[in-house]
Amino acid sequence: MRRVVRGDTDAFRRIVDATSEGLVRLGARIVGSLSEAEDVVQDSYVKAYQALTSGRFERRSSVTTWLRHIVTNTAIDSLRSRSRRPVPSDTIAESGWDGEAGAEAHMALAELNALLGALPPDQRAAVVLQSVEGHAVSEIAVILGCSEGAVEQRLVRARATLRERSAS
Amino acid sequence: MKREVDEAMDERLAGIGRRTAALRPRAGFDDRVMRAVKASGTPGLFEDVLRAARAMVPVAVMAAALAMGWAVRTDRAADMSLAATFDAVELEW
Repeated sequence: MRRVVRGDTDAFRRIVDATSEGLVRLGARIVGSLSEAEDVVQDSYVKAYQALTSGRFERRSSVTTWLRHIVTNTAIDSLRSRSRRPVPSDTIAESGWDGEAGAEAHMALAELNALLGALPPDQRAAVVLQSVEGHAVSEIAVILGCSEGAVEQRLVRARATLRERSAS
Repeated sequence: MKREVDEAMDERLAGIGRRTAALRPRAGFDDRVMRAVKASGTPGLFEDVLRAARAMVPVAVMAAALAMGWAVRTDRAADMSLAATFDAVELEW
């Protein structure tokens, strides 16, 4: 970590190699598109590198949790700005996934996107972190940078919306 | 009823979680990230100066407060000596 703080990009590359898969998966589950998730994660890594080299990483959490925090916030911003631009749609050919597992993941991502499409971005992120990624409320609070009470509130509201939609 | 709907939704979302576990970035993604990181550049001299300046803010605030205190004290002393001079002039007159 000290080497990254000194601006060593090779040391940062090792962090990228170790974390990119999980972060892109998280981003894709929140924004509902692999290509958009890659853009979100790339922006997040640039923000993280700049924060590290300018001494703005305060080590309040592990690097992985901190990166998840940046990716989640960047994904929420990306969802909020969607009203100003067209929604990207992945095709299986574009995605570069091979075989049945890739096609299945693509379909599941589209299903998730349709299911959570009516939720505001912050509620959508909270639902993904809890029900899809399997995080506890306390971990979600750290990742979203808010109190556990605020997380609970978002989850309650999201569940009410999802319940209404499934009833109609 | 409400609980059953929530449980069914949780189950469905957990299933989607398992089915999307195969998601991974496309080949060459990490290289693309590193190109973007290098293009963003490391903080230069300006950022270093800015960081050092930010660290000096508390010292500057303390120095400003001390200077203000010193100025007020000096001003008061000057006023008193000036007033004493006026008194002396009036007495002489």
